[in-house]
Amino acid sequence: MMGGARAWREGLTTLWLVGPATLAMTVLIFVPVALVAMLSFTDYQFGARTFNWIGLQNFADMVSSPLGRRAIVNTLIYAAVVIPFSIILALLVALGLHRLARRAGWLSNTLRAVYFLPVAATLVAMAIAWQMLLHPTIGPVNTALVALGLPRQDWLSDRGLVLYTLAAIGIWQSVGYNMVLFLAGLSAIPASLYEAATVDGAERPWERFWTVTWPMLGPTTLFVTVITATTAFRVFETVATLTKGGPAFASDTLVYALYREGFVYFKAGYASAITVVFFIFVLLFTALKFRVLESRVHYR
Amino acid sequence: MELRNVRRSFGGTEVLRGISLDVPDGSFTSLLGPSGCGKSTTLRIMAGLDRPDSGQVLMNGEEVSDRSATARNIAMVFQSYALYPHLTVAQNMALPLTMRELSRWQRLPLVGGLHGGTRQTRRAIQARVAAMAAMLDLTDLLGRKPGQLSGGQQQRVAVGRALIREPSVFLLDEPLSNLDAKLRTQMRAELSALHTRTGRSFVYVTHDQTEAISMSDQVALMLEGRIAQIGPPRTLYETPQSRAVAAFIGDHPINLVPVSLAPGQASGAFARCRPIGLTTPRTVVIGLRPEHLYLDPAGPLEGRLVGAEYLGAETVLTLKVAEDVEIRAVAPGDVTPPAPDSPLRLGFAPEHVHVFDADGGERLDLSLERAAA
Amino acid sequence: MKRSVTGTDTLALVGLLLGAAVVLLPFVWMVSLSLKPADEIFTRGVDLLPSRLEWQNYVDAFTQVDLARYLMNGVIVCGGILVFQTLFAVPCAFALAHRRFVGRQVIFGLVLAGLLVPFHVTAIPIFLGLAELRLINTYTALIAPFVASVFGIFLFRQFMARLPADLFDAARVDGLSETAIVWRIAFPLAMPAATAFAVFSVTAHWNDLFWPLIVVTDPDLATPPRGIVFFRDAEAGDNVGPLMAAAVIVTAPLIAGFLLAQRTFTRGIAAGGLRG
Repeated sequence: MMGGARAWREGLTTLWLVGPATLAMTVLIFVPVALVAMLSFTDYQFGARTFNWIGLQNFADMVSSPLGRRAIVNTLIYAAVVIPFSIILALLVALGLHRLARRAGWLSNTLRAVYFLPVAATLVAMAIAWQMLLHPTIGPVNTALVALGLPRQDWLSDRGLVLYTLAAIGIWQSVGYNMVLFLAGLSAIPASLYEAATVDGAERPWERFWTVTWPMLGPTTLFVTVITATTAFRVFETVATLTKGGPAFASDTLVYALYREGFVYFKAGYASAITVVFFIFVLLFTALKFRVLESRVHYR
Repeated sequence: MELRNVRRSFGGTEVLRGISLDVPDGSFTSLLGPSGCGKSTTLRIMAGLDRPDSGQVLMNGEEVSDRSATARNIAMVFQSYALYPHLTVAQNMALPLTMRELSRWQRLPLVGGLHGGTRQTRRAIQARVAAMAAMLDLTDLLGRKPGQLSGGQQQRVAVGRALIREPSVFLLDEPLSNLDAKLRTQMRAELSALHTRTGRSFVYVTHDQTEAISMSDQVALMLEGRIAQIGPPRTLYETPQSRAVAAFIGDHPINLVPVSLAPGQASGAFARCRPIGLTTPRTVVIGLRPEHLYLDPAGPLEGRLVGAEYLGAETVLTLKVAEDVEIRAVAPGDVTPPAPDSPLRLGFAPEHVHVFDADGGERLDLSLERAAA
Repeated sequence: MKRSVTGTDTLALVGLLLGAAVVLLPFVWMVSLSLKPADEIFTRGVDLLPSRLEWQNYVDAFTQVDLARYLMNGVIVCGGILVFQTLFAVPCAFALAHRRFVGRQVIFGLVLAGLLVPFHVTAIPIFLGLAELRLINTYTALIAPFVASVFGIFLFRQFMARLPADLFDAARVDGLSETAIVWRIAFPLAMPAATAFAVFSVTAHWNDLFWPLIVVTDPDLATPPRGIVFFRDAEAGDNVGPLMAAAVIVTAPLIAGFLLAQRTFTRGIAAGGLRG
């Protein structure tokens, strides 16, 4: 009886501590996820009084329409460009800075800060700075091209080019983040391994890289890859600021399409279907990330 | 404070198997036992940090299982000291008083000051912290954080934080185990002095029998979730109620020798001895503490010296008294041990002989004396 | 062999410096344009440095649009989000790390599952809910959707799980209520996690354009990125100097924060990678 009273009180305390967060989590995450999945099977429009269940029609529309396919393919291309370049550049920078740190620590630290700057900066503001850099007439990039005798480019309004321009900005923005992760991975490699490798005959730097650094960085690289992938799939700010998906949907991506269909054209049902597709892509990569994280824990 | 038949299990294993324990007001009670015997769980149940599955926890005759530590007015010193790392020594010691003597509103940073009595109360708390610090020689350290203190100083702060609200029962969980040997001896004396000065009930958990025996009024020896014996330290040492108690208590491990006894006649190594108080033949285990055996040319125990360990103040001699039976005896350090393998005889007083049942291990009201030559 | 090592080093250094120059280019150009007089901006010749500093651009940024208002909105929204996230996450994280109760595994499971859900996925239903409550174009619409940060709960829980349980038992014996333990003991001790989380949360929401673009059409409620987009869309390309000045001002607080507390800042943002 008396124990019961105390157990009751303990239960109330737990509820007081955990309840608000759990409720908020449910209302703001899990219920919306369920709703968005439901909406993706309807033709609901924002503001409409009724809706019809239309089964997989939204998904069929998305896959069969050039526009829907465009968004998916563009997102995949964008990711396919950003992921390898961002990772390789970040790895090169991290290796360079790690090496430099022993000779000129201050320079290494300064450069690290410089490379990290885009990560901390407000992407929308930086996108506008990029817009001015890439301006067809008054941008210094084109001016430089002309000075070198090359043709000027319409970086943000050429259908064939625009997606790659956005990808370049995406790389510029994410290299610093990946570099930090690689630097952490590098500093975790014990110096004794390099000494052992040298004794074993790996005398040249690149030999040591392949025998020690690269294998030891394996888990970090996997982690960096999945993080870069999930971020790349979410590209929105640069698209919204610089191209609005144009020209002629040449830079349309999943998140921008979901924004446009849902909140510009108010097609909630169709936008929900885009959301679901986007979510499935992200889930695939995030699931991979957690498996990698787990194996990384075991690795240590 | 009293525990009555307290039981507690964790995931199927019964950690406490019916603990009954009375802590008289103002006493110094030790819970002594090897690790895993349930002594810390007992202490946590006393503190109200854990609840018994069954049984009662009483204070002044009232059931308190349902009350928090504060409501029971119990304080505790943790093995790790558990000082709040982000608070200074003064803030650490003031916290229990702040929580008790200021209301929820008064504790709020700015709003609290609006209430009339807040400043007075805070000043009173500071005065008590200062007094406690003076008593524990911590005055110079009041502004420091725990991380800047030595182990002994942290220990004193933990004691001060516990004592400051004048608890009716003061619980200590292995408080000296993280200190070095020298400091431990010093803190032992300080804790004893503190107990005398405050007159509160102390319950002290330890695995170190020297601590338990040197400080306590009563020692509860816990083995495998039960209280094996409870009583004054002297009783535990002089009349252990079981073979297990006898084996646990004592600096030198007690000699335990299985022997068959018949009225008027003992066997094996004790063939020159005669049982006292025996009516029917039985198999027993004889317990003899090494420090109670002395070299005696006419002694009843005869054996060959197989080892001598010189320890300065004393020398521990190991004798082989029969096939497979070795007995250790403590001789004064100034005795030069005879050459190895030389024959030796040991004597003992009948009141130092402990006899236990060979099967159950419980104490038997028997003894041995030297048979008339 | 020694020569070849120095050679590689030099090559690497040149590469690093060139890369850094490319990384810095947009920043330099942004600052440069923000200080250039309009006529210099539109001349063909590209000069990195302005011939004279046109501070008027900064004055214009604050007068032509309500930049001060955007900044204040940014502070209100980021501050509000952070305060509520902390209020929700810290007690929950403490209970998950240091209390035994029925459903603990389930709730922690929910937290882990929540980490998998990008905010974009919940946008449509949350927008519908806010519209239903007539909250579009309010601060509530900007703040409320983010108050439950599963990432915050996760980060705090992982940190608190490493704090010794004795500390909280001692606090219980000292008469602290569980709420008092959360805020007087656990939270101050979890400061490293709290700062990392604060950095992560503030940068994420200061920089976010997606949600403000959806729920805010009223310029008076615009957060800094939303405000810049308003500004850019309104001035139609002939007001570059002030626009760049606004971009500089919007970017400056986080960059300054990063430069002043690089270690804390990097750790906070890097921690965000654990999020889905």
